[in-house]
Amino acid sequence: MRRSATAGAGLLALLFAVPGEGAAQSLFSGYIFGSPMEIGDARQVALGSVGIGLGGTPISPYDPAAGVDLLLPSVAFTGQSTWGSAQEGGGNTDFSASRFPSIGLIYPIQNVVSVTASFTGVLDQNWEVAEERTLSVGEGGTQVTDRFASDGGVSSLRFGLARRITPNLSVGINAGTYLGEVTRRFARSFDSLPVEGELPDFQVGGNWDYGGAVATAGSVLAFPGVGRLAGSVTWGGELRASPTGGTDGAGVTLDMPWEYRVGGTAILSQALFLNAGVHLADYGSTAEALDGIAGASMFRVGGGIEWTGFSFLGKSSALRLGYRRGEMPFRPETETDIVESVISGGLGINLLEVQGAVLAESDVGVEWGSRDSSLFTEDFFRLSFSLRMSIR
Amino acid sequence: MKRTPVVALIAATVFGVVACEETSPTSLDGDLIPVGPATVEVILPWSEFGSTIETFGGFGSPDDLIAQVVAEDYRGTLDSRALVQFTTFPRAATVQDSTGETRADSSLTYLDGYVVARIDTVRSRTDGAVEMALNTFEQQWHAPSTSWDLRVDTVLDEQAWEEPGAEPSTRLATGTWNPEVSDSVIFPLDSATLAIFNDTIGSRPSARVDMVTPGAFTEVLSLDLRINVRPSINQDTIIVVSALPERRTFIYSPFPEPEEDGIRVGGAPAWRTVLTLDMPTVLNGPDTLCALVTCPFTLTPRRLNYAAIIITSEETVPGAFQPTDTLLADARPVLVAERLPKSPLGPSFLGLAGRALAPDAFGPNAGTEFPIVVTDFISSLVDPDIDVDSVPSELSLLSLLEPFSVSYATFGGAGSPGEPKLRLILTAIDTVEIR
Repeated sequence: MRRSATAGAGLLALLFAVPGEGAAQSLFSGYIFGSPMEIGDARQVALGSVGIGLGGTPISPYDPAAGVDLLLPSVAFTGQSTWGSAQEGGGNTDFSASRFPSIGLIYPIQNVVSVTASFTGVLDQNWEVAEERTLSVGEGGTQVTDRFASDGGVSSLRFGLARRITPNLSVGINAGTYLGEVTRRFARSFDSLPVEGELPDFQVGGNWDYGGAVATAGSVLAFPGVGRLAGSVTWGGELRASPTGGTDGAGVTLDMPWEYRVGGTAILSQALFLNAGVHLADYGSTAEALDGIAGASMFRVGGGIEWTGFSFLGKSSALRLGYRRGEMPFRPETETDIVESVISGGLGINLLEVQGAVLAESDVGVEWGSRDSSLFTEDFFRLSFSLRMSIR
Repeated sequence: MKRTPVVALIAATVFGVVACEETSPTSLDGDLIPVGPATVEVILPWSEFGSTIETFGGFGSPDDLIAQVVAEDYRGTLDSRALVQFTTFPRAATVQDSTGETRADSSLTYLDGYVVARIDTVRSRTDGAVEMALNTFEQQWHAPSTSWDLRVDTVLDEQAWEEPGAEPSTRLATGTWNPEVSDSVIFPLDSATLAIFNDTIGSRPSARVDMVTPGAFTEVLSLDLRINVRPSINQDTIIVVSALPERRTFIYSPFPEPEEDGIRVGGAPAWRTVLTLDMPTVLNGPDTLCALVTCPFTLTPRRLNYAAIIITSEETVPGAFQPTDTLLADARPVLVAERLPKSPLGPSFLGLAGRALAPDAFGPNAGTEFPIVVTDFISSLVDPDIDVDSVPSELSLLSLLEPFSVSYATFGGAGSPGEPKLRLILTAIDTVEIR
């Protein structure tokens, strides 16, 4: 009992210690309000999942009932590294980032109910613009470099409950708040203006904190020997950005859309599984508060196949292939939707199994993706790593 | 087996931290920059940012200087004389006797001697060899305060020379200094003359070094009295002992009174010039500003990118006081204006090394501009969140070392063609919004 309490405290500490947002993953972030980060762990990534309908005990804020299958206190976190390249205006821009997009925790209480907690990235708002220009200042003009950088993003912290209603039907709910902050800063450096001494960069900017409630409810219906079907509804609530620390800029409130996810897994054989799902959300009214940005009627679809019939390094393992496609939630007002398509794959290893219970599981997922719009095209390669550990 | 999860956790953490270098996506599309900043350079004339210019003198004294100026009608103007009082003669010396043993001898016979003056060959201005003279005079003088007209000039005591220029005096010797041959001039003294400086009964007379050759200017680095002595121990030997200067200074004429509203830095005693600013917080011009931003334009620290007060050098008049070497200038805020000229000053705007002013800028290259960067100083004056009475609005221009030289730097004052001006680089920007 004491060990469980200690473990629970440790898991909670880990939950709050690790950031849910990180560096940038798309050049499109600068053109829209941010790039979505809601894809879950490495297994979901590898299977092209939209975050719902997977068996095998995932901890996902978008599939709140799924955690009921976990019978032991567990924690899972995911790390991602992205390498990307965008062809913008005839030029090529490379970027890379590491981030922790999600951390999840589940704590079953006497097989009656499972308490869940998650800290998940929602929008990544890290991006930068640099432009050299000549100003008519001083004799013969002055070369300056303007930089505008956005640093931060939106995350969500949620706590929830999951309960098995019947042997085949589970329900779950979670609720929480948006968190995070963004700093937006403009800097102009004077590259050729002759002055005595040092001419410091001109800098101005602001900082905003994010807040607002968010909740998801969902259920899972199991069909023994056939598969499972899951659905969830997310109430996006209001995402409030409040200026802090002497920021002159105004705050903004976005009406986040309702999000609908449906997904399922079909058991093709004892070791072969097929997963598919769709994700719907209409960001049309959300973007009304954003200057120059329109919202997309987002329709995402994804799926993949998982084979668990082999061992790797003496451990039972899984191979996965998947594909996902859909719009990004925002687009520049004058442009077409930004469509992201991803081919994915991955490997899962049960690191520690004791008496049939998987106590440690590690997954690796890789994605080759592109984002296309009338503005430009962006390609990326993303490597995800997840680790889930359970405590007996 | 039990270690596997721990190893995996460590591996995952390492993966997350070092997997890839962070490189934020950087767009080159300037249209993404959601603000349209306008940068403009504005030059304000003195009348638009300044109110008064005052020059204060009396900082330090010529006796603080290492070198004494000796000049005669230099550039048709400057007469300057070095004054020195030597210590009493040494009463004993260490001498080798006939056996080669070193012994103290307190029975010395003073024979004759000489005064040697070492000249700064770089800073002196002569046209070939010059003749200099060594004089003696009886009047007592106060080194820190004496001047051409006054031998003592303190708060409690003011006494004039009998005649200006430490006169009357008696010429003791003359000597020739040829800058192409040596860096010293020697004034020989016979035994009778030498005895004058060894008078221990009355008040010891002082020596005065004059320039005899008209138009010459020298700076004397040292003055020593060397005495040839015959010891009692070994009377076949002549040794040399020295009487060192007990105090020394120089006096000069004319005294260059500063121009009203002019800017002067340096000299000995040194001058400082205080610029009192009356900084506007709203600009309605010039046209170059209003063409780019909406006027009236409110100055704020955020909008102020750079500020420099530009002072313009003028030819120093009389020319005899033109710098002959680089002057180091300093600029500091006046912390308590009510206590001028003795107000404490704030930290330098020009750093520990000050600003080097080339001597030609005050002669053939008059009109050279010297910017003094005062961005923070000006920012505090236009900051709406700061009570303007709580921050200094006076700026003191001074020599980094006071005094540094008898010469001084002059700059255009209020109303002159080279009057101070304020260079501002301003950037106006819309508020940065979240979108």
